[in-house]
Amino acid sequence: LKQEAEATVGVPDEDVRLMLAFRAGDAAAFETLFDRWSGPLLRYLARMLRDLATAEELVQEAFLRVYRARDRYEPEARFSTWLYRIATNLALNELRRPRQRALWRSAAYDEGEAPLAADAPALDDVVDARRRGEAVWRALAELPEKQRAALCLSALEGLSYAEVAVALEVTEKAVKSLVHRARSTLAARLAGEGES
Amino acid sequence: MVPPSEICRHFEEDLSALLDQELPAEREAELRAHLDACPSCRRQLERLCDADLALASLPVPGPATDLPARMRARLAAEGAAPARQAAAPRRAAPARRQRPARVLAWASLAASLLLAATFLLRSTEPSTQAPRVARESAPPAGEGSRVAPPPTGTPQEPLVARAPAAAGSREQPAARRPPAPRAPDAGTALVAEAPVAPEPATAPLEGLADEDLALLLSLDELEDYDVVANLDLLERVVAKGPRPGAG
Repeated sequence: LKQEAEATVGVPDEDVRLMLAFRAGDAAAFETLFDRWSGPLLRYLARMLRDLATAEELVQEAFLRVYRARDRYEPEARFSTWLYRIATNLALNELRRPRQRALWRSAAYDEGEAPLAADAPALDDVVDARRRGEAVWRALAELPEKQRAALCLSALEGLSYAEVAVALEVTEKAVKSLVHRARSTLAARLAGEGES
Repeated sequence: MVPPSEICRHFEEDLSALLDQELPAEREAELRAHLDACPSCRRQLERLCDADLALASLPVPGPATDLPARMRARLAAEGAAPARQAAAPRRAAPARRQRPARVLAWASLAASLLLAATFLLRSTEPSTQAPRVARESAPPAGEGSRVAPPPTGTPQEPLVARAPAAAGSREQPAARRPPAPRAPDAGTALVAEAPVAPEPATAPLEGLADEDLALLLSLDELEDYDVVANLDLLERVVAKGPRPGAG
């Protein structure tokens, strides 16, 4: 399986080996894949959707699709690229729903704040940080969805442009452009927030 | 001669690609040379970098602790029965039923106490747990891989039933990886390898009323080894708690 994974993907990919093992009947391999990737996938989807509950639903849906596709799985890319492609399609579909759009426009996102520690920053700093965070969420929300996905996958999840291209089903050149437009728009909006 | 603004435009998208380490070496050298001479592009590069930092600072809560359980439920609905039912039918949870509020309160108390005790036991006596195979939790640092998801393991039941060891199965024990070191607070592996852990301390549980046992085993939060490792406490809870259906 390891050799098959290397031969098809071109680089050693433990996840591909696990997926091939799952295809061959090793149920534990699926659990390991879920264990390794549910957290990163949730982080990505939460940033894409700004809705943790829906992000968790989509993580399950993505892995359900992996489960269903096990028999016809062929390792043509890294497992993670395939998984992010599934998740991105789910997220883009979800973002087309009116409810999700409304959520993005509202500012009611539970940021899951940690309790204040003994050496917690002063209240003003906390308020400032929260305001800054809200400005970032707002700027992210205003990005076109594909730009948002490209930037999150590249800058936050560490996918290469080639991998983002597979996940978004566009060319690498388009990814370079999407990422740059997203990043420069975000930078300009945040600079504007800072000045106001 | 090309005006400076044209040169800047020429390199515009490359600024992002530089941050993402996506530029070919030759192009990167050209851009760096331009940056040395262009304060405007240097400022823009700083702004782009700040945008990345701001984005990375957005707080995103970790997965809910019951995410594996919910995944398991969806897989079960797909037809992949949990391994515990397949491997240890004697202890399989009975079908859920409507419970009176008092029973739920009792069950909640028992679960809370057991989970607290389990946490303490795991913290102090990890080696006393039933044997399980710890799975490698960190992805490989493969060549060219920039993806490094953190381990997110939580103690849960297996997600998918083990495939029966069919003749000619390609799964060999040698293919299993040795247990990887885990952080002390990382809990136990999600996966309990088949065959299921031996049950040396289940005898006292058999003295419980069937109704009590059924209730305990039907709580999603409890795992076999948790119950086994906390028999004394469990017995006390059961002895003090109201019996389902009593009164």
